[in-house]
Amino acid sequence: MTDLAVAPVLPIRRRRVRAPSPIIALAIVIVVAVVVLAIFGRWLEPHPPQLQTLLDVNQPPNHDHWFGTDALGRDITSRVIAGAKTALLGPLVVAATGAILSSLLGIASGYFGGAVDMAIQRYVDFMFALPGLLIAIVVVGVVGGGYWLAVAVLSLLNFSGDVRIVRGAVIEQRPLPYVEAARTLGVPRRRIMYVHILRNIVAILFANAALDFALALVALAGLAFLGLGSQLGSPEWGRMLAENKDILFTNPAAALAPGVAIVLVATSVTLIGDWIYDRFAYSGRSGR
Amino acid sequence: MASAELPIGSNDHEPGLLEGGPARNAGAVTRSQWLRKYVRNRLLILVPLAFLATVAAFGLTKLAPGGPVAALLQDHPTSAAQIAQIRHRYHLDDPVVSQYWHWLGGVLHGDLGASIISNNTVWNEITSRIGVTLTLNLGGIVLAILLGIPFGVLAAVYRSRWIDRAIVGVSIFGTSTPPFATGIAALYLIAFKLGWFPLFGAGAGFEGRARHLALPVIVLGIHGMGFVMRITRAAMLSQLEQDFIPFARGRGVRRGRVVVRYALRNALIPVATAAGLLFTGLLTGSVLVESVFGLPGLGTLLVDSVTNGDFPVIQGLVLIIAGWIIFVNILVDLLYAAIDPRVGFEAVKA
Repeated sequence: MTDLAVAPVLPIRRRRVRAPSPIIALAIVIVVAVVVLAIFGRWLEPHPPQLQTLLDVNQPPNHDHWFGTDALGRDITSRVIAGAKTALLGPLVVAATGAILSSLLGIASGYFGGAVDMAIQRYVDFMFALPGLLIAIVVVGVVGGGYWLAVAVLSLLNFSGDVRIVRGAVIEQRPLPYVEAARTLGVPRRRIMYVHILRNIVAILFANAALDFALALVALAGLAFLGLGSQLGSPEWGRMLAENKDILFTNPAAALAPGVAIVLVATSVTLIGDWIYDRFAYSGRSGR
Repeated sequence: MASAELPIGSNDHEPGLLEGGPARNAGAVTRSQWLRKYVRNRLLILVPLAFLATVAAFGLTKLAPGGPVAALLQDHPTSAAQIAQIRHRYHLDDPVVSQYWHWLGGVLHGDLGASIISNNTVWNEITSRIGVTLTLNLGGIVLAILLGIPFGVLAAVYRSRWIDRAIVGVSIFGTSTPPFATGIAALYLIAFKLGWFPLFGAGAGFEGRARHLALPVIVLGIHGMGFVMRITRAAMLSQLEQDFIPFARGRGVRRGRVVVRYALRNALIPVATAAGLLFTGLLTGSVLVESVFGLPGLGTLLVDSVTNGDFPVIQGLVLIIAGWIIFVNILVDLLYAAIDPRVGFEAVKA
């Protein structure tokens, strides 16, 4: 508290944002492409994703079926495209919930300190030790719920790490002069916390959200892989991986294509998250 | 700043589960007195956590639509009398609390009930499969640590050079790649194309076991390696910034010795605490890996029992897994207090 008044005057520096490296650019291109597929995929699929052509089962890749067909003669390319929407929607919800809850709890924890901080941190420690995906497997399996139950379980279990990061960032923001200035001007505390400080840590929220997104994508694919949280026959990447595992040796592309899709999107989003963190997360802080 | 390097999870120690902080103003306490109190508090937390775990395991059955009756009957046509008989046998007509007490009594006597599907006791089902899962997990963790720490050190020492970039890139790829995807790729490329390892099953005898489990262990190990690497790198970077590093170099201590004896020794503290997370992470991973490689472990048992609604088995597994996670977390907390001489120092000073 006392060191508020002696915070050093920072030289004003124009923040320079360097152009992303080629790898980040590639990651952005991949993510944009998948988003386009998720929105417009219906018109881009070469074949109907549910169409079973039983005369063309287990075909290796050819000019009509780029990644071949599965055991029911369904076109792998079309099914991977059709899976993009499910692959993005759930993780988006998980990431958004995580960002909202972690900023509410993390800012309160970092700004108030004391008993509030203690309570929130103990709760976070507890949540942190819980294996989210394992709990999702059991709950979704037992309740027999679908995709959205899986999304709900992951949304509620996977944001504890974010709370810690947000709290750390808020503790760094709190002693900065702009906070003191706002307080002197009589700005309401809630506004300082959730408008002024939030604006300065928003890059961290986005970086966290990107990582949550990637984790949720992988977790939901894992659930679908185990046959949970998805409908039989629905074109989901994780489920396709499991279904086409049996024809791995006749048409490997059928199992590898959805696998590569998961890995590409998850890695790209993680890379973008890291990049956002490195480039933008230092606004308003001293040093750097 | 170390934790700021790590958008994932973060690891600036934070002793896990519900910290029962010992009183700070206990007058003149020695560190050993403080430690004794710390250990006692940690162990006391076991009681509410164990209670919570049993409630969770029991409560799960109440979440299922139709409950055990539906699971037992599957799709067979039945009469009301049969349903009443089943309800009576599983005490489903009693109040929930007394059902819980009845079940808990059995659990405390080591009776977890019998599988609805196979009729084997849950205890037999679990003990016959736990070996595979333990081997996978321990093997994966050892591999993750043996690979992750050296690469993490290398990345920190060569910060921002190409080695660092390559290692960080591989670690991002490793952590964001689900083990079932790597598993399938490995199955195809290494087991099928190259024929180095067997394709499915757990194998018999020690040698067969080892050959069958090698590839799954590698897949899990690589999955965990990225995480260990990130934490080691961040912890090493914060150590290498410390004043004692140039000082030691100035005294003429060789570079390798400074890195290993001065920096790495301190950096291992956060790495050791993160190992607890690795345990839970790989436990989840092994569920997926077992399913890819068709291994008869606890993971496949969990998935089967969950899909079949085999409640006694699910309850038994939830208890075992919860117990395992609580055990690992408390162990990590104790380990942390034991290896970091600074823990408890504040209390001693006060």
